[in-house]
Amino acid sequence: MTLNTYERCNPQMRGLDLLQKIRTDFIGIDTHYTLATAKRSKRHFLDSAASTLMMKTAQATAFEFLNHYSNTHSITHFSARISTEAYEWAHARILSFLHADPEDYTCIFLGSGSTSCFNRISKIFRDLKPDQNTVLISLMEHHSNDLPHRQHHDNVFHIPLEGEGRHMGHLNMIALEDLLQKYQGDVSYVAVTAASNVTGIINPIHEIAQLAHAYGAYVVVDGSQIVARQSVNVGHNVPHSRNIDAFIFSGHKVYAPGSPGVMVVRREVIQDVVPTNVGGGMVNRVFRQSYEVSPKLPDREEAGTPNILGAITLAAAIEVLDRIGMDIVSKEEERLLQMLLLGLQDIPEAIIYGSYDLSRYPRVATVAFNLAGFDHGLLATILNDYYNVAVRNDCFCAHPYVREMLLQELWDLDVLNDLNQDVFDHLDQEFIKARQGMVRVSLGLYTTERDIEALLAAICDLNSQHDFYAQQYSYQGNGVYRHNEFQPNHTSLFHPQDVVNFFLKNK
Amino acid sequence: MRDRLQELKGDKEQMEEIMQLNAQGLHCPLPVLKAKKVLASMVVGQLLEVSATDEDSVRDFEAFTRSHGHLLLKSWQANGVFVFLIQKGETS
Repeated sequence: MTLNTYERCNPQMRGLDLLQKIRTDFIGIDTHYTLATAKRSKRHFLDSAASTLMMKTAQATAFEFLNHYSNTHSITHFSARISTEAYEWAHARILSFLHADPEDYTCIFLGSGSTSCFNRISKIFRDLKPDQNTVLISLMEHHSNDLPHRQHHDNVFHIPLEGEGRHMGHLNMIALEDLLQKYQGDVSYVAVTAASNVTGIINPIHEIAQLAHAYGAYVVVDGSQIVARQSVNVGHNVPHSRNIDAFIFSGHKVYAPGSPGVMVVRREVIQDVVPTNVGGGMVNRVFRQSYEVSPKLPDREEAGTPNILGAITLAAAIEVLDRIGMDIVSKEEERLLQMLLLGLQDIPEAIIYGSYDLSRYPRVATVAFNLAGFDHGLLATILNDYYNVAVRNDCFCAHPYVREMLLQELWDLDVLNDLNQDVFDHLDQEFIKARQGMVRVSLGLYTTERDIEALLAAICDLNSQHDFYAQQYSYQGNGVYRHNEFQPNHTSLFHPQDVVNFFLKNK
Repeated sequence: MRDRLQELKGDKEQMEEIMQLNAQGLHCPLPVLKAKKVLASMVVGQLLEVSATDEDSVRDFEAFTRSHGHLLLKSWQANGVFVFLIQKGETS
């Protein structure tokens, strides 16, 4: 199949018209499953904060590119030239999307997901500023923007958030300044997420950058949850002190599964740091006893054969987002977020985490909640098994943040009616685990009012039949519930070997 | 009257006894939950000494005593063990 055979939309199409056109063009949007009721229905995918569905335009771009696929780092034959140029275009496209001037910033593709990027930036700052061994991170960080800093620096301190407990808002700027003063001269950098992967609450990253820079600290931003949802301005802020030094995200949150992690970083920060990943493609000359690292960025930081296909897929998805316009994307998302929050607030048993005063603490469309009387694992499993609503539960790789929001509820466990003295005496971590988590709903470009309505209706319905549902499940430990009878064989739905067999049989 | 005197005497003895709770090796929220259980069996004003190894317990006991009407009289650390001296409050 070539590009000419695709039914192409008007290339001039932009804005809301384009969004409406591509809204249903995602792979998996029509996936159906058979439920515990034996009814077959369409899945409501509300787990986009973990991984988004794949945009068909991005997939089509990838398939088309495969006709020319070849390794990069060569411009001799036609395919190598096409691959190299397309890979370079992917870098440039991402810099442009994030408003990062290529004179000042470089775009580096690393690993899968953002974790490799956070590990790399932490080592870069360790090598760049070996005498400054303190890192400040917000309490709401995903482990990927927490543990690498602990691994590579002596001191990592968590910056508190505004508010308390389940009503917490964004990062507390006064607390940040207190820490910057307390450890003045020793803070290498401040690492914060632009938006929480648990509550969706947005941090004021440019105010944070300005403050950190005033104290001589760099700023690393986790952009994983915001990059597909709001306009991001990494490097064109006034004053320049509000610019971000390193902005990290992953393509699997941007409708391009299989794509790499991305680090957009100021050249000045990275130019003179010795790469830790070495191999092909990042050297000028190699001798038996020594080698000469290329000064060229991003090459010197992208050792080995890169994820060419993934990078091009990601850049294609970003091209579409840019054509829609991120202001339109965020407006549309905010409309659905309001609907979701209002709906949850109408359910008395629903406990929403993080302040939902959107005028004070804006969010991206991610909401974590619990329903009184249901453990998080049970609630998420019922939503899946009986209502075909795909949500995530547990602690979302943000244990310190989730723990802080749940603390008061956990301390109240001994006054729950179903806890008698014997149970209390045998209280153990397993008992806690079943209650130490939340259910998270997160939206994407393909989410519709019908998805939100289905979720809210399901919550109301199951809430009115607590005893019935509780009887259908057994606790398996580690927060997991399993239906007593409904245990579908997932390998009958998909197994790689079956697909291989199918294609070979039909050859 | 005699019964009441005996009761008061019992309270006084209980007041003077410092209850001990070893929560070492337990992780959040168990140290606080265990302390809460012991506090429920104590009289107002009585002291409880909790030892824990979970670093989070420092902030937890500060927040717990504040929100549950107890008094955190003193806390200290020795050899990786955090110790908290808590006086039972009236509003717990």
